[in-house]
Amino acid sequence: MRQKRHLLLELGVILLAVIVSVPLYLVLINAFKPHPEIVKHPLSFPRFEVGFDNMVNAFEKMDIVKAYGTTFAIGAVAMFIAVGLGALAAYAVSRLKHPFFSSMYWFYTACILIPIQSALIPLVLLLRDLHLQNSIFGISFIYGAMLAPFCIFMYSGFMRSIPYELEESAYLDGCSTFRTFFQIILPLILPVTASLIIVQFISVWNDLQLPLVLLNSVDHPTVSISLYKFFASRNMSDLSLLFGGIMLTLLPIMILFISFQRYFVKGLSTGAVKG
Amino acid sequence: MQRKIYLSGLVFMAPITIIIFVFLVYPILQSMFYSLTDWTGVGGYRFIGLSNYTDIFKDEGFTDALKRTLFIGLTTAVLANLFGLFFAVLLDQSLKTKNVLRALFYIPNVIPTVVAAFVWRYILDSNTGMLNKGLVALFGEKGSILWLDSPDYVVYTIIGITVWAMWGPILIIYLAALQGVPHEMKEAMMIDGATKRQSFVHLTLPMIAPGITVNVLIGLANGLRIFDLPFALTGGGPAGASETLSVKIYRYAFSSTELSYGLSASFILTVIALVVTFFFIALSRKYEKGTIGG
Repeated sequence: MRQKRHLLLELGVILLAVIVSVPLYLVLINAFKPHPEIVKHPLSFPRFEVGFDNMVNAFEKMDIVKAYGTTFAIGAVAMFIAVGLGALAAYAVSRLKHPFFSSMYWFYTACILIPIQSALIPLVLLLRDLHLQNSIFGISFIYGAMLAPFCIFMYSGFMRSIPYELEESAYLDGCSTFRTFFQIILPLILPVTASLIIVQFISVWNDLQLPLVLLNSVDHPTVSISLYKFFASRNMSDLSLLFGGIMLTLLPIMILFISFQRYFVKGLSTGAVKG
Repeated sequence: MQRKIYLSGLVFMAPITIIIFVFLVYPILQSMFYSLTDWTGVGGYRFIGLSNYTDIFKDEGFTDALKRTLFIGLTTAVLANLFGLFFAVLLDQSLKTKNVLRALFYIPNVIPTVVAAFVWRYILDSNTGMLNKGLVALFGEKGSILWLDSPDYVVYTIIGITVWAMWGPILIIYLAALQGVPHEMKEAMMIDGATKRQSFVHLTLPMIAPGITVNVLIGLANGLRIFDLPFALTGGGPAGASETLSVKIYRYAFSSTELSYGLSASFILTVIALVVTFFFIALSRKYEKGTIGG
């Protein structure tokens, strides 16, 4: 009886997982079908008559290599700022016993709540004044400022659980704060770092709004923008091209997710629950 | 010694704090400041008090977007958390396929919003979409629903897709929190005659309370500032029926005559995000104190 209920339960959850995965399934199968077949049998398995033609077509028309490069560069600079500089700040707010540092923790946490959309109009003008308009650095700094508070929040939660004895002995041995951070703390926070980088990189990769407002899509097309610009005008007239393009947009991020899945799920959850 | 450590602490904090001030705090303050002026983005300005705000609240398109944003934010936060917690509890019961399921539930969050918007548009299109085709096949012409083209339904469609995209991380955080609940305590309660529901309400819920707080905050933060999905899915249509505050700000920003409305709308969005979340944090602190401390 109990066994049976358990099985039923499992089947129910699996059914939901299947429903939730329908969009992904549609992309995976329709990327390998010609347009008429997608229209006629959207859910059926591909017969692989067109091979990788859809993706090759989209590849040639979308200038996707430039888009990959741009998005990756923005993500890398943003990660250096948000995760790298964020970790340093988190060390100060979570490990130093002075009220100033712990009050800064609340400042950073409050910053998580600020919607970047509210700063958008002044940001356009600010970048112009700093001569950073339409540049990869300008937008990366904004991502950095936007994502760093969450990184500091997660890092602080995690760093508080590290025993103080480790650092104290380092200090007694005459280690500088910098060396203590890089040699004692940094190796311990690597799992959180990995999960933060993946989660935040994905959000930069997927973002539409900031590049839409801050970058010229011809000079610096991000992946999301080039997909959006490419198909917003074409509508749904060529579905095989659409699914080919979607596949190109999705592929790198899915590979990243699948290869680090186990790792980052763990890091994400420890930081959040303890913080 | 201590002073030296504090000094390097300041050095540690300086770079990111400067970046946050320049690229986040300062622009927000500028938004507030200029929203009290008649500034058009170039040239001089003069103070006009609150008249941007009184004007913007007379605009029905804006007040509708404001109510819609609150509705979307609150509903998605509640639904994503209910679903997330419910399925985390199910997954926690050591299902064999747990790891695969967890990944499948998470993937919608990884899919770029533009991709999600295009695929869902393909699924939900009123005439050619596969969902309506299926519904028509099952229920006849009456079964067809205008998921994206009806001003009445489009908000619910957006809420549905947002919950679909958002609940993966929420579920993962609940799963981790649930694994922190000691099994022995649960068993001890059951031996003392507590029902499954009682042990869930009195033991599990209080113990995962920090996870609930984080998750509701994630839900609210994402829901209230939602831009990409309505923009890419419907462009705010039909007839503005799916415009959120962020979409409104974007539209105002690119019209030279309404730039100051955009700044007022920005300030209103900030206030809403801060007020709603602080209200919720206060509420959850009270709850956590009442259950664990008391």
